Amino acid sequence: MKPRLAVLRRAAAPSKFAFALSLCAYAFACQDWRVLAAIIAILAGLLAASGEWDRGVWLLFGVFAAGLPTLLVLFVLGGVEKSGSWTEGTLLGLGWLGLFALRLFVLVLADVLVVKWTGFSDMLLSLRALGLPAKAVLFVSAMVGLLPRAFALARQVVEVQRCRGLAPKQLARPRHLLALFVPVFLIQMRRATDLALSLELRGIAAAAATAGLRPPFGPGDALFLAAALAIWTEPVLNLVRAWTI
Amino acid sequence: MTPAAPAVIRAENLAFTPAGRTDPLFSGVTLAIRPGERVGIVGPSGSGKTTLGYHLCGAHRLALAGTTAGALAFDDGCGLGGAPPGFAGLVAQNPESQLFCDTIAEEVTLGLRSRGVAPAACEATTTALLARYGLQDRRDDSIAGLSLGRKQLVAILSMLAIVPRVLLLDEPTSYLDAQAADRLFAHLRALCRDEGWVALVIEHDLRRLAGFADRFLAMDGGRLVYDGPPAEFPQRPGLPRRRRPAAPANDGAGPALRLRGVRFAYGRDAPVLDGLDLTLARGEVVALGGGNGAGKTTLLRLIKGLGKPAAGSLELAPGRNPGRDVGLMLQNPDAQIFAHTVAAECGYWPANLGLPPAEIEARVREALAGLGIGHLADRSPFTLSFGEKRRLCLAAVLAGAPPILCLDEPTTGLDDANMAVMAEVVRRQATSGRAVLLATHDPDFAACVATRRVRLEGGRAVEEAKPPGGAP
Amino acid sequence: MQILRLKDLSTAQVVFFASVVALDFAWGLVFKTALQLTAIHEVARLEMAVSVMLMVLVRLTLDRFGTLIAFELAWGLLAAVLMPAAGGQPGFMKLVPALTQGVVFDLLFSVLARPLPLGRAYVAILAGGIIGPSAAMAVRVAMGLPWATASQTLFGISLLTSLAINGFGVYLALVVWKRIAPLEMVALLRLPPQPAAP
Repeated sequence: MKPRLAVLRRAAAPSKFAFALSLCAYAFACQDWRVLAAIIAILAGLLAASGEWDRGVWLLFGVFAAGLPTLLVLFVLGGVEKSGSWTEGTLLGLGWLGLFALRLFVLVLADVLVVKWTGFSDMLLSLRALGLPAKAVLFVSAMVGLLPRAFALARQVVEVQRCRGLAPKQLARPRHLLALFVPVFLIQMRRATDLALSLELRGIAAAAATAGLRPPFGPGDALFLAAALAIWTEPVLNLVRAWTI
Repeated sequence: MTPAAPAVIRAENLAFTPAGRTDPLFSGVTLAIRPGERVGIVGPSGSGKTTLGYHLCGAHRLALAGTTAGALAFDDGCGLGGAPPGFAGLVAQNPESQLFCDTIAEEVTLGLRSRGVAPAACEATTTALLARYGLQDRRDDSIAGLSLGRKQLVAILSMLAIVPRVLLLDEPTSYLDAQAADRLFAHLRALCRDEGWVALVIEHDLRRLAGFADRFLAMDGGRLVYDGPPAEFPQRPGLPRRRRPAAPANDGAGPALRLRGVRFAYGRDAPVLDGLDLTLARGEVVALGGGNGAGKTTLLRLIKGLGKPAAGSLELAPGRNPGRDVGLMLQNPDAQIFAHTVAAECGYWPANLGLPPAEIEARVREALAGLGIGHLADRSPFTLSFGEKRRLCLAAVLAGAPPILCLDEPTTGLDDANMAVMAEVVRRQATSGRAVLLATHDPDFAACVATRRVRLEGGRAVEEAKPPGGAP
Repeated sequence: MQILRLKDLSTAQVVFFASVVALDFAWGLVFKTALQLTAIHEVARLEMAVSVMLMVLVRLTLDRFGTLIAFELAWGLLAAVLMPAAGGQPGFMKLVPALTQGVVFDLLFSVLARPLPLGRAYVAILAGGIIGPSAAMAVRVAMGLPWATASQTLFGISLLTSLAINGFGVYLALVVWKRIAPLEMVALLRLPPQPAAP
């Protein structure tokens, strides 16, 4: 089944990253909450339309909500300090918090959109297309590939040391933290050398860099790059007007 | 083997000194290996077998830190800097650290794809290999969920796929069951005979190795002490062939451990244990056998309280709790060693039990002495040999003085001397009233120590018939 | 100054480096997210003790300027991809404090290599542990967080706890290094010192 919004999703990873970075930079520059809210609506709409709005995305909002009480306190107290009165200060602080939250959501949604729309192999191809050496590509592959094994390894060592009486609440004590850390670190080190040997013998870690595979520039790439530039139209125009006045 | 064929591997006065040491790990090794030879590399722990093996397949520069001296040649080209690409394949002891991909098929194909082999050819090679070893229906299984034995098999297949000229296997049967090991050796024999492969196998099980290898290289104290046919190799005594230990008399105290109808599965997978019944009495040594993935390690973990059965009951003797009264030694010593000295490592569990320092010290001294490593108490545990580390792990469990002892493959990777020590210690624990349950692939070890043998099949425990007259 | 160059790294060193970043990230994914669900994370980044240990050990093994910059860059990218909302910095903004920290770490590790072969770890990590969070705060202020007394107080407390936690992490890292430095496996992975310039 063809993925939804296929044209956009088939764009190369560099175009998507450029779009996301441009959005991130714009979020800092933009002072108008309506523009930020519109961007969030568009990003959320794209994510939902592509069928990628899943439980993981809701979790992001959950994480933000968990940090809200502290942020609320900081913003309200900051507003009160600036305005000198509790009522005005609270309203001021809430206003700031609103703008802060909007900026945060723009950054997170831009990030999530790029990640959900970029397969791992696409990313590697893009890295190679950018001329990144084979070792750097191996680094990225190994890092991502070893991530789930790091969890498994930590669980295994936790289990072994639990057999010897380690309790989770004792982790703050150096002896117990070392009982987890040292075996995990050394096993990881041993695994790295064994894995490297296995990969070398199977010809994976070739010294010669592979030839760059330039991904084609399609309509999706054009759209992303155009969007990355288009959001800066108003600020640039304002700047030009300010110069010419 | 074609006697007239030029040597594939040639070494002359080969020596290796590890980084940070002044004395060589091995020296004076001179030999030539021809196409089609099946070579077994044997010797006690720490004798230099693995290091020599790495040199003979040209992996020494990739895998070892140190200085190689002498002459080493592969196909008459200088080999001191390593072997040419594609020359050798190697499967190290720990299968978990050599696997890179998500699924079995991807792992086996990886080496072929990296060389630009056409997808159709990759697929054909992979399918043939998986079919040969009965894994064709599991080709898309996640490697992470495989047992250690299956992981070891996948690691071996991934090297077979690249068709090397020389293949080094380091303890290939550590985790493989007997059937898989037989299949592997038969396949290797055919490859050596028909394709001229050189197979180098490092193995402690001399009997099995003698059935495969046509030449033994024996290392001892860093020297090559034997180079010739297995039949003429002076065999060490091995494990003493004893009468099967007698089952303990029923003292009416009740079993140390009783499992009834135990059922356990990982996630939504098919149950590993399905209605298992087992009783363990004080003073008994029960050897748990069964193929890869049969559930031996799972059972030991449940007894220790690291998981809960989905159904059935698991009862210890009254007043016992798994955290304090069950000692579990798992397979990989590197997963637990962390302390600055052997004594501190051994004393970790007693310290966590809240025992006073004087008692901890006494228990540690006794446990280390019992395993013959008392003289290493002040040494860093990271500098121990594999056999010494296994002994330390057992000592660390015994220091907790648990009434029930669970040992997971206690003899994996051990030479005969270390195995004999393990056997003696296990028998002594049973004699002193402990209940011992050990999972093992090794029938000789089981015969030497077990009062009863049980096999896990279809998630249940099946008693093995006792031979008449108390014979092993 | 000895600089990290890709061509100087063996496959084993590349994979080791990647595996330590993966380990740090896996640790952070669980503990950073869990701690952020409490208010503790605003004043005490407890999970940093293990991260600091990993960074110090990898820096002592691959002792070159650039190691920790690369570490932080890789970590930041992983964090941006896999936990975009956690850790206080949203999305790709995580790279700002991460890279700032990495530069400070590497600079001090390299500059103090001769006068303080082991003590440099304390100086580098403690200094980076102040400058990195300061960069993170600067990002949050740029996003609109008011730089008022409450924020300043909270920031000050988090810097103090950061010093304590990071110092603890360095101490443990050096304990571990003393145990493992003589191992052959470590010798295989260590980068030899580059010859001094004539």
